[in-house]
Amino acid sequence: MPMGKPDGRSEIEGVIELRRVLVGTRSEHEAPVLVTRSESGDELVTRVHVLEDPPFEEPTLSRLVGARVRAAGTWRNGVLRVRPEDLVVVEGASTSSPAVEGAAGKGEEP
Amino acid sequence: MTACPSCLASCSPGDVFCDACGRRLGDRGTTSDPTCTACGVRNHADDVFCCGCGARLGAPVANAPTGQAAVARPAPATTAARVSTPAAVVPARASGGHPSGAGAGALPPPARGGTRPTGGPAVSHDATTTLVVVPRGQRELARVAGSFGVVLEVSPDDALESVQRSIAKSRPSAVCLVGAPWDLPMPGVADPTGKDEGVPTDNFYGMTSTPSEDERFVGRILPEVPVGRVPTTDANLLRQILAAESALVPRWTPGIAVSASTWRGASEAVLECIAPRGGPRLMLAPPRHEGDVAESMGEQPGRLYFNVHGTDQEPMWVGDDGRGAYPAVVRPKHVRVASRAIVASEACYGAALFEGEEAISTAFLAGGAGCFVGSTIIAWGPAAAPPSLADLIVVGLYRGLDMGMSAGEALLAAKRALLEAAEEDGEPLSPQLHNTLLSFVLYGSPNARVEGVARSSGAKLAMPGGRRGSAKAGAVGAGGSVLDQTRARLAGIGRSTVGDARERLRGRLAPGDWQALSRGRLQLAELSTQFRSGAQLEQRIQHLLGVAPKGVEVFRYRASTVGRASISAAEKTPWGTKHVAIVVDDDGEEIDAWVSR
Repeated sequence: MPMGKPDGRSEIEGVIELRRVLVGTRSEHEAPVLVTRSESGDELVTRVHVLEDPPFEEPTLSRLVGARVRAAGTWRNGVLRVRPEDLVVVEGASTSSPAVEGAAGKGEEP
Repeated sequence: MTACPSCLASCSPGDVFCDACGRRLGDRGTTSDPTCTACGVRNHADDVFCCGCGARLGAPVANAPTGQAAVARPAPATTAARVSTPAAVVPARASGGHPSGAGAGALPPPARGGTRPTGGPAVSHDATTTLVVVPRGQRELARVAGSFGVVLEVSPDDALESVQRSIAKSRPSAVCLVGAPWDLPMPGVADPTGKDEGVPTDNFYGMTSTPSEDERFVGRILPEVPVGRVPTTDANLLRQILAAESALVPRWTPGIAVSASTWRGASEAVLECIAPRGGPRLMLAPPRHEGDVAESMGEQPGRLYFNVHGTDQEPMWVGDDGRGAYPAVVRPKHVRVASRAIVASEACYGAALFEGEEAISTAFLAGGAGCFVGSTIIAWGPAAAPPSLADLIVVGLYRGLDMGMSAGEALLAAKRALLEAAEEDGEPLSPQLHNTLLSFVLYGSPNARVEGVARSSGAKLAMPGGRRGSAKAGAVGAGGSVLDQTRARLAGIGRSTVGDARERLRGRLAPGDWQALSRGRLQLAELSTQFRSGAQLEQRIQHLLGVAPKGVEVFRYRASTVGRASISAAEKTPWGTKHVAIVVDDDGEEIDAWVSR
């Protein structure tokens, strides 16, 4: 679940998955989103945008599909906006991920 | 009775403050300040030049005709003042003049360099009764604004209420807001589609009171007078933008039209309507991209039409090939000069502004554009012909301008045409239409007009209180493709005839085409004829709504490679109007659903 940070930002940890977003509009498309699951199986899907990335392609996030990440940022219209340096890969990073946390085997430095 | 110098509201002789706008009566700039002998505008005590006409204060002017502003310096013959407001109430305004005696000829260069906006000092003289709303304390802005209308200074906290009171009392011909939304708030309402956090709109600044949700959904949603906003507190830029009045480019040469490839059908239909005598070739993105668009815009883009994606996350618009390619087509840096341009964009968030961030809309204005129309939120529209919703806003805007309407009138006429077509069904508005009517805003002067186009009676017909048929014909009338004409006819004739026409059209089209084209109301039971899962959909809608609706609205579109339909329904309840919408795939399988509060 989103956690408030002292600077007013929110932090969420979850897995990057591809989902269809903006369903019901003509901008509907498949995009990487942050999925958080509770122990009861409830799913929280959060749209995330990495600042200055092309919003419809989200190349940084697309490279992280399948990875568990921690994203800290601010909200705009239901989207968590994060700087690349505030997107931390916790587990399952690809070689091109922006930042990696943890021991060897959980990811590689970019 | 005396008149408030800011908002023209009638005040009693003993009043200390104006009831309408709160201005202290007898303030500096009211009764004791120097009045220009050329145009009658009251000025501040320390002004050397008139803020109304630019004349040196105290200079004698001979033969000023009664009821008409004398002009202290040569002005185009086409800008003869038309002052109809009683002289005792409103100081007559001259035109073409600028504070500090600078005149339009001394306009500052566009913020992004390049050439100065062309078109000369043409300023609409019917701006006399335009209410120009300026954030309180912005003295230079107020001085500039005074050249173009009656200034109402407001504080952000009660800006909307002040303007609405002023409208109720003085009935201005238009409202021009000055300042970005963080200077002069843009009020918002909850988004009934649930897709955006809210729907920011300037509509309420043109009304005497803010409508409730129920009122909006039964049609009280449009401003009573045209509204425009100049989203800047830069006095030089304000002067530049307002000076574009009566000088908007009259033709599509030069001009550009850019569409996401996947929306080609809808864009071509719009282009046929707005440039029937040969407009620009539609640029499809991809394969076209930002470099191509920037090159095409060049130094004189003229008229522009965009039907592309936009977002509220980055200041860029992008194309779409339907297969996952979204090339950038416009960014603020690509807009260098846009002298007197008319820009209409169907991009989502095309008119959204965020403090401290660049925006494409303001880049156009800084480049000299006189009129920008776009949406503050998701723009609702079809991927294929016939044009609807956002498409028809663009069609109405350009048609209205070419008929001689001002930009504010044209946008309002386009919205009225949409509303009136929907009202024929006798049902509450769909959430998508509700949002379209609110979210499309005009940046620029509401009085901006196309150069050389005389006012037409049609302009009046499209104004509030005009006859619906005329408004419709003006906004989406004759011309355009067969489908467009059919749609226009459907929108303008009786319901039984509409049914006949729909059936004829249906008979002429292949089933798949009809599915793609059809958008309209169905009986609930008809869902079974449209979707494989129609029976389940009927039950689902009844369950969400609590009752069986009289009808549902089906809106088909394509999203990337997949077909989608939005099925919405509404029902009045003792607590308000309840809306439901279900998004389904081609078979009618539910993908998403939402219910209004």
